[in-house]
Amino acid sequence: MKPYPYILSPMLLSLVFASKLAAADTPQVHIHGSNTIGAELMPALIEHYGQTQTWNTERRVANNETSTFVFQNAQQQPTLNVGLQAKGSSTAFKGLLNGSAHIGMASRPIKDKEAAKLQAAGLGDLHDFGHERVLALDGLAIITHAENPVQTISMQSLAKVFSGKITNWQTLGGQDLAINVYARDHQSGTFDTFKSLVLKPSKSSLTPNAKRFSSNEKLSDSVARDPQGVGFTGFAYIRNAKAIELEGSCGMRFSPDEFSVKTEEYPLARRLFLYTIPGSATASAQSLLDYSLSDAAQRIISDTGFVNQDIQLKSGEQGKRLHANLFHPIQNQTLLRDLSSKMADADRASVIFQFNHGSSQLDNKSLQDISRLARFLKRPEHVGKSVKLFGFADSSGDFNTNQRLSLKRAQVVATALEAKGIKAASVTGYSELSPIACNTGKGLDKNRRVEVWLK
Amino acid sequence: MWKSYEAIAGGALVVLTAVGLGIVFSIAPNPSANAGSVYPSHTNTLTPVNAQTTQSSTTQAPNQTATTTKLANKRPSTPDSIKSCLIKTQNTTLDSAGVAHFDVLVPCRKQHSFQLIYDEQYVFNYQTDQYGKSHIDFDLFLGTRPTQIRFEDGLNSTLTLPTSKNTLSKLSKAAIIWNSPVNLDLHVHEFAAEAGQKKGHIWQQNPNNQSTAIKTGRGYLTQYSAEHTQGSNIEVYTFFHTENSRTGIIDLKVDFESRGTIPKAPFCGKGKHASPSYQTILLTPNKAPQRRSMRIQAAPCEQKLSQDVRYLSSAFPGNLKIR
Repeated sequence: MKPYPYILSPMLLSLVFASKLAAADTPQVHIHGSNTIGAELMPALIEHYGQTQTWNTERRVANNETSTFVFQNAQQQPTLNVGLQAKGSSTAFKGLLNGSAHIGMASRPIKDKEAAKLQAAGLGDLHDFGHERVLALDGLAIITHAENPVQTISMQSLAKVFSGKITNWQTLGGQDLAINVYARDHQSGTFDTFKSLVLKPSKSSLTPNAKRFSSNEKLSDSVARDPQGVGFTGFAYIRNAKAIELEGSCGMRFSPDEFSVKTEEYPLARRLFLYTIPGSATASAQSLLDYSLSDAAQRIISDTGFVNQDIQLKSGEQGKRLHANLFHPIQNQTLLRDLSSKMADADRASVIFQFNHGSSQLDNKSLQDISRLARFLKRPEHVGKSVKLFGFADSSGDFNTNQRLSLKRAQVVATALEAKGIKAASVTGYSELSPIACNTGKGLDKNRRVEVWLK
Repeated sequence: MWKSYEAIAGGALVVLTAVGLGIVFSIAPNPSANAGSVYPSHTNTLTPVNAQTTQSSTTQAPNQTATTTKLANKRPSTPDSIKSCLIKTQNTTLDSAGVAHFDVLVPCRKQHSFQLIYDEQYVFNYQTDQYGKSHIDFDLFLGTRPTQIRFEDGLNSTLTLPTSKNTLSKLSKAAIIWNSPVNLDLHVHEFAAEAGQKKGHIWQQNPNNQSTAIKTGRGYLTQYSAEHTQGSNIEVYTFFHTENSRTGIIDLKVDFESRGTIPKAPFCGKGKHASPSYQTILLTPNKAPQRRSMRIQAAPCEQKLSQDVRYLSSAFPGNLKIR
C-alpha cells in the first residue's frame, strides 16, 4: 500500500488532534474508483460512519481527487485512516488488482475483461453476490443550457448527436445553431454507461469533436454556460444545467425522476457499485462497507443527490402502467383486465426484480432487494397489507411462453420472500403486457421483471 | 465607529489596537506567483481590512481582527470588583444578513479586554473604551448559540443574542474558520460562474455587498480577520433566498493563498505552515449547521500547482443547493 503523508498538529479550539504521526498500526482502508461516487457520496458515507463510531474526523485534502479521513476516538487516539482516491471507475479495478485498494467504487458494472484479470490473479470472481454490491442508483441525465428550447430528445437522435451525425439544434426542433458536445473522459464509468446504453446499440462512437472532462461538475457547469451545449452526467450533477426528456423508439417518454430511476424504468438508469476482493477485505473495510450498504446510509445517499434504495410506494401508477399498453399491440384482453383489477387501489413499490433473458434467476441487486423488501413489509404500517407480485416478460418469443416464464419469475420472488417470512397474496404472470420500456435493445432487459404492489 | 476586534484561538493572543476610525491594516504575505492563473490575484501587501465594509456601514460587520497578545489590564481584579460590576448590553438588533449589532456596557471595566465566547468554543477578543463601552457587530454564522462575555478577572455574563431562527430561515451561510497565521480565501462560484467573473465569483477581492445581494437574490462575503499572525480568522458567505433567487448550485472552494501557485517555505514541504487546519461551516435554512474539521495537505516546494490543486473544491465539503 502506498503511504499517505500524515501531519497532525493542534486544531481549532474544541477539536484538538494529537500532534503526532498516525500510529503505524492504525487500521487503514483504501477506497479507489469512480469520481461520481467519490466526489461527495463516499466522503459523506465515510464521515457518517465515523460519527456512528463516535469518532472525531479530520479530512485532509491533497487535491480534488485525493483525500484522507483521519479518525480519532474521544481519548484522541488514532482509530482509523481512510484514503479516498476518485480518478474514475476503471481505477477501482486496477486498485483491487494491484492491492492498493480494499474497496472499489464503480459507476458501471465490472467488465468481463477486468473480472477475468482479477480471476487470473487468483483474486476470485467479482461478479459474485457479496463482492459486487449495489450502493445506490443513479440516472444519466442529458443536459443542456437552461434556456435551450429543446425539451425532449429521442434515443436515436441522442446517439446521432453524440456521434456527430446530427450537428445542428434545428434538426431537433431548436435554433439554427451548431451543437457543442460535452462528454466525460475515458476513465469514467459515466462515459462507459453512456457508451453502452446510447452509442453501442446504434453501433456509434463518440464524436472526436466532443470536449472531454474528468469531472461531472466541470462538465455540467460547462454545459450550463454554453447555449449550444449538450452533455450527459449523473442525476446528482445536473446542477445549473437543464435535464431534458428522453423518448423511446416506440414513443414512450421518460423524465429523470427519483421513482423512475428506482424502478430502473428510466432508459439511462444505472447502478453504482462497491466491489471487494473475496476474503481479503479487512475488518475495518468490511465494517465501512456494511455501513455504506445499510438502511442507515440511505438517507445520506439521498442527501447527496443520488437515488437510494429505500422502498417507496406510489399510488396512481395504475393509469401509467395501463397506458403503456397503447404502445404495443394487446394480445390478451382478459389478462389485461385481470392486471387492471389487481392494480386497482393498490400502490406500486419502487423495488423491481430483474432477470436475464430466458431466465428466472435473481441477479445480485435482486438478492439484496429481497431482504430490503422483507424488512419494509414487516414495518408496522405495512403489516396486514396484501402483497401482489406481477411477473412480466419482454416481447421476444410467443405470448403464452412468455406468460409461463413471467409467472415463474413471480414465483421465484414469492419463494424468496416466503423464506424471509412474507407471504404474497397474489402471484401472477402477465407475459409482455404493460411494458416499462420499448421492446428494443436494453428495453428488453427492463421489461423482464417482477413488480410489487401493495393493497 | 469601528472598533478593534481581537480573536483568540488555542490560547495564543495577539493584540491589534484600533485608533480613531479604527482602520486596521492586514499585512498579507508576499503576493503569490499567479502566472497562468484564471483566478485574479491579490494585488497588494497592505490592505485596509475594513475597506470593503464601506459599502454598507450599518449592515456589514467590520473585520474582527485576530489579535493574539493580551492587553495589560489597568486595575488588579478582586472578587469584590466582580460582585459589584454588571455587564449590560443595549441597542441589540439583528439585520437581514443574520448579523447581530449591540453595545456592551461595563462602566466598571473601562479600557479592559474581554472575550466573546460564541457557541462555547469560538473566542473573540474585544476591548472596552474609556467609557467602558464596546460596539459589536457579530455574524451569527451558527445561529443563536450560547454566548458569553468574559473578562480576564473572571467577570462574566451570559449574552442573550437576538433570536435568529426567522432571519436565518431565509439565508444560507458558508464559512471557513482557521487559526494558523496563514491566509485562506473562500471562493464562491454562484450558479456556474467562472473564475474572475464579476457577477457570481465572490471572494475577498470581489465580495459584493449586502444590498446588491438582497436585490439580486445572491450572496456576499464578509471577513472577520485578518491578522496574519495567530488567532481566529473567518470568512463568511451569506446567500439571501429571495423571490429573485434562481435555483442551482453554489460551489465553494478554498484557496491556500499564502501558499500560492508556486509554494515556498514555510507554506510547503515540511514547513511550519505547510498544512493548515481549518473548519468549514455550512448553514442552510431550517437545518442544523454542518461543521467539518479539515486540513490542506502539504504540497512540495517550488513545484507549480495546477488550478485544481490551488483552488480546492473538495476543501469545502458540499455545496449550497438552491432550490
